[in-house]
Amino acid sequence: MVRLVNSLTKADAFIILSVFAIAIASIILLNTIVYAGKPDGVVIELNGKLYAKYDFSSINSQKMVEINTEYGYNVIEIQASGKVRVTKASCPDQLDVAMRWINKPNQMLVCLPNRLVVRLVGKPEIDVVSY
Amino acid sequence: MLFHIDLWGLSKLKNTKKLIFLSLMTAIGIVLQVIESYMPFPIDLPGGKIGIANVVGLIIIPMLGGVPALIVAVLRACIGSLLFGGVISAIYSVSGAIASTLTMIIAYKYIYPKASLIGVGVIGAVAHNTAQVTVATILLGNVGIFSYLPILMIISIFTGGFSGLVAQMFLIRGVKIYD
Repeated sequence: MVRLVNSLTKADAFIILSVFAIAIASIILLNTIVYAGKPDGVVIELNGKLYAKYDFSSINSQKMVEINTEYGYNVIEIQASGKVRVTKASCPDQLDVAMRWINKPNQMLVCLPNRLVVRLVGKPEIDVVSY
Repeated sequence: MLFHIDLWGLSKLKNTKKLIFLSLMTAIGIVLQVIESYMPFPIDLPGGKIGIANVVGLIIIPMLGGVPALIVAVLRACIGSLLFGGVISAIYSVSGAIASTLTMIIAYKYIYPKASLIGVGVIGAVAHNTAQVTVATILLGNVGIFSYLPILMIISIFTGGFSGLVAQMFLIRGVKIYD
């Protein structure tokens, strides 16, 4: 009824190696193109829409941003040196807190239960806050 | 066999064994999904799952074909995530289950005797993670989440390979019990 292959075949090795190669190539591409340079600002998005935008040059050393909406509660810490993290979250899994600091352009912190995306940008068009 | 929607003749009494087997497989899938939900997920894809529950699909596809595997996968994802997750995790689970099972059915049909179930499992796990990333992109409206995909692909080599190995060992030892 069932034809069984009882070992790792050449085709298996080919599949595994090609998946690995594609993944490594994408990581290298991401690091050289998407994550290159230093970030200029932080963009906070809620439910796919822009919530706030901060420029690192307009922050003295540190800034805490509290977000309390119908989607949930989050506290975001922004350091003027160019890094950002989520310090508090009302979501059950706390994955966004576990991600700790991000410091490269286009990197992001995501909290799906609260519909929150915190993203570092290379060149922000708007300074300071735009609620 | 692939698109043979006869509902595998459930009305006939002699297929009660099949029904029991599929129910057992669904239950095993739910348990695997619950165990999986307690495993730490290495990157921040909220609601994302590793996809160990694909083992069940990998066992059913060679034994009974694609349609039962798809039905069991969707049932498993719905029941498991509604019992131990939420609506968002249900969206993730169902889309991941459908994507991985469909891909595994196609992969099994075309590459199986050449590649073992390990290769089929890796392909299914990659499809599972791609579906999850796509769902996260749609839910958040942010294409940047696709940058997680390469890391997820490397993880899926291990989880998919593990699933394939487990299914292979199960089939080698257990096929006689079913027959």
